Amino acid sequence: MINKNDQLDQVSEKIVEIKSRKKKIDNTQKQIRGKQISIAMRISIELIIAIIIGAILGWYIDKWLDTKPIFFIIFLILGIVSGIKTAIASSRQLYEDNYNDH
Amino acid sequence: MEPEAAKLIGAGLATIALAGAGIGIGTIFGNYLSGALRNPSAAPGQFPNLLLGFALAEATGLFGLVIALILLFVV
Amino acid sequence: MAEKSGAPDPMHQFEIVELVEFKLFDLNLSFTNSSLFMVFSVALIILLTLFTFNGRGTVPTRLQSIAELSYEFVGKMVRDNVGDEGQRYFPFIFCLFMFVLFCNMLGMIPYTFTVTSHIIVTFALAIVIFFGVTVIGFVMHGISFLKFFVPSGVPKALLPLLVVIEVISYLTRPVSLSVRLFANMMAGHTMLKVFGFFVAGMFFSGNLFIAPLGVAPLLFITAFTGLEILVAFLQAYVFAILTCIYLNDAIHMH
Repeated sequence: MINKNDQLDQVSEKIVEIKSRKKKIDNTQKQIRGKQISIAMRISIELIIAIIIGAILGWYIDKWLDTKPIFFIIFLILGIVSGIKTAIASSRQLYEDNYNDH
Repeated sequence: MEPEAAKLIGAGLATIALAGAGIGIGTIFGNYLSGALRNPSAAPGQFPNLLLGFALAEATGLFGLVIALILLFVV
Repeated sequence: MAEKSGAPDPMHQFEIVELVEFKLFDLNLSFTNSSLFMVFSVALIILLTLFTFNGRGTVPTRLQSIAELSYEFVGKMVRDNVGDEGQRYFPFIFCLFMFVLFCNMLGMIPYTFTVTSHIIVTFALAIVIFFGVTVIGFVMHGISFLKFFVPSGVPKALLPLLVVIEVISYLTRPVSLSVRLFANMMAGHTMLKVFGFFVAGMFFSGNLFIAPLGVAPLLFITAFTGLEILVAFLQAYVFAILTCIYLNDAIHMH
């Protein structure tokens, strides 16, 4: 009897261990798809809003320091670059669920 | 021409950029569909690429929309 | 839907009407139709979660299973995207998701007011989330939370430029969160209204050729309303899941 209890304990420990290993990969296909669609919507809007925020920041710093239009151009370019960087980083997030499955 | 009228005409012309967005999105989805119909088992693997292409084409179209809004409300 | 001088006005549905005036030293704290629909949304959520339970029965009623499904849905979303340390933020994410979902869905009923179609409402939600997540990051990691803005493996000369770029892209998060929800809601409702004006104009144009063709925009409105209901749910889901992703970034620092 004690032997069987030990075996049962071992088996339940193993089950708990395997379950905790599998926890991250437990998404259904639908959930992954939903997450990917939300990341895609985020990419398109963040690209544009990064440029707009760069432009607004540059415009207001120009108004404050009275130097037209140097800061506007600088921050516009910085906004474009940061938008593209965010898009690339978000697109990397798009692929990570795919590479976990295949 | 008064500036008010010029603003409205300019904003209207700027939305022509959305035609490019429509063409781009249609092209991306059309190519994905024709590829998925030829090789259905490879289709889920290409789904992130589809979403990425859609997001970037949409972003390009939204640029034109932003210019239209700036013309209407800021300038 | 009174028209001014006969011209169709699709923006009239977004007007804020003060129902109970309440001004306090220059601050206008009146109870508006926006507040009324927020109260409706919260009341519906409370009704759904608190008063649908079947007592001691093991078989849930239909409404109870809707409440349990939404709890499971948000629970799974938080567990998968934030991890186990994020369980303490589950009540906030649940309230956020249910509030945005119910506000969006209430707007699909005719003659109601869509709360989330105003940029100030969505921006208030997004800025609270932004400040909350930043404060959580600082509390959990101390001052080394600033390392979040320094990407690894970068030559030292480019570092100042890259830090500014990372800060700008971090600042776009609340703006993009709010603009996405606001733009989708306002654009959807405006388009429905414009096509409604087409239908009314075509039916009452008095021209015997155009009048029957008024059915075409009507069919389009029907199909588009279905799409709008899907968009309402999807936008609430996107809002909640992006909040979970930003929370995960703050807690786990990449």
